[in-house]
Amino acid sequence: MIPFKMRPDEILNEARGFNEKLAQGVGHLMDVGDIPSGVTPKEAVYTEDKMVLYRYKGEQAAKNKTPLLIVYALVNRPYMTDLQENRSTIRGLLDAGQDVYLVDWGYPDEADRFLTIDDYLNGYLDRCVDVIAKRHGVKKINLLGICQGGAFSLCYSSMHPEKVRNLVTMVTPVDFQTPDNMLSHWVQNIDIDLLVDTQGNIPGEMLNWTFLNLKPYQLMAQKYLGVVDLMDDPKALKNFMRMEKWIFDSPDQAGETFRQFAKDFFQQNKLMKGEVEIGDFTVDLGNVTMPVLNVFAEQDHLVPPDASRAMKKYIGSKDYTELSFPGGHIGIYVSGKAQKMIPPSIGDWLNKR
Amino acid sequence: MSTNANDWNQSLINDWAETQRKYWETWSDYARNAGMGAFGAGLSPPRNPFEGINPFSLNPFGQNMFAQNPFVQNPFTQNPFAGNPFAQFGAGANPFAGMLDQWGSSMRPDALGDIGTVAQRFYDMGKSFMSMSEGLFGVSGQEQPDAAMNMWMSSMQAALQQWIAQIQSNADFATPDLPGVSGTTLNNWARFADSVSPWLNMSQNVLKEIAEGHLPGGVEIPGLGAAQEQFCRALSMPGLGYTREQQEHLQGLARNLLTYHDALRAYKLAFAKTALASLESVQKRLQAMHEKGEKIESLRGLYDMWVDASEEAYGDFATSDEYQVVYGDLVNALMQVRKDMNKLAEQHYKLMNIPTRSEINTMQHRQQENRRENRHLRREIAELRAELEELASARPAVSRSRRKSPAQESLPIDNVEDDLTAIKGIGPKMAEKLYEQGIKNFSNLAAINAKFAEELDEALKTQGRILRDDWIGQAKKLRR
Repeated sequence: MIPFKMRPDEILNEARGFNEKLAQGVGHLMDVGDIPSGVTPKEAVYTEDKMVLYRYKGEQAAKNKTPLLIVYALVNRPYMTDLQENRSTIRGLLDAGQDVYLVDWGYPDEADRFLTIDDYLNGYLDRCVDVIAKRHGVKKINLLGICQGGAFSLCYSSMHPEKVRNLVTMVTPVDFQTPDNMLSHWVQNIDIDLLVDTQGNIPGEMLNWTFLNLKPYQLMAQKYLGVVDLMDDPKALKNFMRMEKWIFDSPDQAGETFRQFAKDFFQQNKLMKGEVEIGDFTVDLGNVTMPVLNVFAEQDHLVPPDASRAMKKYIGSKDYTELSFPGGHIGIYVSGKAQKMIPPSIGDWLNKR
Repeated sequence: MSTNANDWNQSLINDWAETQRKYWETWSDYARNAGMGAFGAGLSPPRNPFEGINPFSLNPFGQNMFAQNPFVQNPFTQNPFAGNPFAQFGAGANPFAGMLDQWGSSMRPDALGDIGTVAQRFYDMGKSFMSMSEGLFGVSGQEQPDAAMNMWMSSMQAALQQWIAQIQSNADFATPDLPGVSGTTLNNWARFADSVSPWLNMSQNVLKEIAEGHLPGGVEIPGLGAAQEQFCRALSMPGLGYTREQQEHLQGLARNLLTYHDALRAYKLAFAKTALASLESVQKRLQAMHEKGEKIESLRGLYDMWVDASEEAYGDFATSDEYQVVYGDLVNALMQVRKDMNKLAEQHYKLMNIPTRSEINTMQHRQQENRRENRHLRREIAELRAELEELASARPAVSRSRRKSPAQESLPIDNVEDDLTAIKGIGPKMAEKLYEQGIKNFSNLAAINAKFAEELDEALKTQGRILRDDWIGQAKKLRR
């Protein structure tokens, strides 16, 4: 028995309505115009190779005298945190009294394939931290790491605890092998050395394909069907296009960095075991003794909540706080609910420390 | 030449406008024929949203020839619900989606840049939705909708099973495209695989050649036939003579191409099984709805349910051990092929005296090491400088006198600590006082000039003992 109750004329009407909306919507698509990468005013304060360190301009002077540096992942671009005026984690942090900086890693090309995690963390990132500390006449700054950038921030805080006053991690994996971690499950049988030796940098397209395949039916098909209903609203359509641009704006990842990240973090889960070696350091999470705020998303299909929660067990900090958000990996930056909840809570937590 | 290009462009625009007109006409006709008076009466004719827009003004030559992938069919000519299980319901060759196809292909999204790419995604999705609608339209016209719906489901199932049978008995190397929504995922893989290894395009021809007995490297084995085992053996044949190495290399490449095609086939098969599982999941959901007395009242409702069921079945598959294996094998096999091809390319580059990727890698690797070392050294120098300044400021008596006597600028500042009590006239207390002044070893002491010695004598209240006992002379003898 099929519980289907529609007359032929209803079906034809729905199909026709859809077709017309789609046709007109595609017309509206052409009127969308330029889609900016980030909306909050900012200035570049330091550059090195393809990396740029930005400082964001708030409407009033920052209340918190300790500047905050955002460390984004190497996959995808950091304007996810600054997508549109009313959907900007960065704007929220400025409004919450923080002096916000952000490292933009840029788009690596083949000449960057030998950049290692050591180069990124003990090189680029460490020099950014020094630049900020010097500008503000402080010894320690606040760090906010996102996703892979969160794992990097943890490593950095373990290697240079004397430079980090407070650490905030968002959707950051620590245990890379929780049973619900699909990405990790997939990567176990891949010959990473063959991949990197052959491919050099890992193409953004490949990473993107992998991420979309976490939920292919929703991300490659259903999503677009849902938007057809919004297509006659130019503003909603533009906002959809911002997100669409961001999703497919995936830089390649420097080969050597990918090699270590995939092997040590994903395949061998060395971060929580304290066995990751970066340059002259062995990363011991026990060195992470500064206050830590760990923010994760309950419906995260990329970094499952348990992967983040594991942090508590391994870090040395006695001042550890968890902030759990009812949403997904991306929603935590762009949903209306997240806008009201996340940046003010982070600002509050930092201002108290 | 330029006139021709303009003419060509103009004719494209005309064609395109004509397709638009036809599209909407066809829709109206279709609706009228299907007994939908509403289109003619109540509703205004659909507006052509592209009126006045010329998509070709956006660089009709913008296509990248190399982005074309013969492995991937043109997404606009391909129906994600292919194998059209709906045709049997009498609605013809799926006109809903077919019309969208016609229109989509006239729009040439690849000429529209980013917007075109997104438009393409909309069309891909729209077509699968339209195909489903079409099927239901046929179904709901039947006297017994339940039976018809069941037929529809089982015909989808049959299409998948047929595909599986086809791929399992596949003596050919071209794998047919998977019917159903999963086809989209696989197409994306093919698109990606092609971007990673453009030469894969050639692989079908290469394999065909091999099958016909023409081995790479000019080796001929007439009547080799298509049995894979047989030519795998032939491909393992040791190379002979002057071109031995190249022959072996090409044979290796051919073997790895076969491995890749096997891996791709295994991956597609696993996907097909998942698509079957998702059909079962749809059936179960329908049954559950029926039992609860719930009804699906819109196409969207059915589509969303379908997506949920498929995602669930896919999720189970993607977290299985089987997936880990087929996925890893696929990526590894593709990389192995690419590695071989890189090597082949480099052999040719060398012959042409062109630098190779390997050589550039070596240089880049060394350069990055140099840069790293350079940064380390710079940092070390900065730290040493800072330390030097700190030392200087922590020694007020010395620095004051240093300003007066420039000769002391050369005072050694190493931090090695010597036992200064070895000097006659210096006891433990005095040694401590000297340490506080920054004089920690014999070299420090030996470098003091007469003027500084006088000042030091005053500061330490040694009443002339420094010069009298010749501490400086003693230190000169003791320093290393």
